[in-house]
Amino acid sequence: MERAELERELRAHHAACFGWALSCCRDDPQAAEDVLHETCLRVLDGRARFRGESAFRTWLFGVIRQVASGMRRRAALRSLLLLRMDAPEPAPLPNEAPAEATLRAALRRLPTRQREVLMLVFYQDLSIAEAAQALGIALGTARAHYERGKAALRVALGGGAAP
Amino acid sequence: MTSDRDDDLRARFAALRAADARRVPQFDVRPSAYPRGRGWAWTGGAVALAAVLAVSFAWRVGKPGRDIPAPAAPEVMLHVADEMPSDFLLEGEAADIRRDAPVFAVETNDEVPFL
Repeated sequence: MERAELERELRAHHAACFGWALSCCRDDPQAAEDVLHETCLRVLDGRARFRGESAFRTWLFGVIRQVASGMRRRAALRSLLLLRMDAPEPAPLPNEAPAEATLRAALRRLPTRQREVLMLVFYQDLSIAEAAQALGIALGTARAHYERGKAALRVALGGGAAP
Repeated sequence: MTSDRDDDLRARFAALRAADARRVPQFDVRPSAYPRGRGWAWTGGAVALAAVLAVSFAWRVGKPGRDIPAPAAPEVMLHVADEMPSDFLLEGEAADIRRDAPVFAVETNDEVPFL
């Protein structure tokens, strides 16, 4: 893809990508911005290359997840070097409604994979198969995380176990 | 096929998405759009500080006999050897004295014990 075309695609998916980056960065908007920016640079300078093996958005979500994971690793290394063992909790988002805060808190308590699958399916409206592609896992695995995640989220939100 | 319970979750997530949409930063792909490398500056600083401390520690602890005076300068040793009676020394012995003279010869430069 040409640079102009890539920029057009990135611009079109910008809002969705920010939401996903926010989820990958445990709701830290500053970190999400950094991840999103680094992702855009990697896509535009060719460090992340789209080969057309999936939808562009699915691939882009995979890149965002990889970049966020790398940044988290480096942050953990920095904390270790600076002997700061307690990772600070991100500050609550500004102007956060109670329902929004409750859902975010419930999602944070889920295992990472379950949270990721639920975010991709419910928040980003991907199919389970597309979520599996974005996360680089098997479809069956994604389906299992989806079902378990839904049940756990309902319990966390006070709705009881799934029937 | 989705159940009512799934619809409830979808509605909650849609509200979350709408809230996040208000926080989306401006699209900007210029390399200088955000300050970068802040984290690595901290890491680099910490590594440099650790290296300086380690070298300093090793230097203080590992330096052997740092309270013992430095060996005598060659010209002092030369003086010691030259002051000896020539018939007292065998051939080549002056050079050995110059090379192997003990450290105390420096401190007692005026009164070399064996002269």
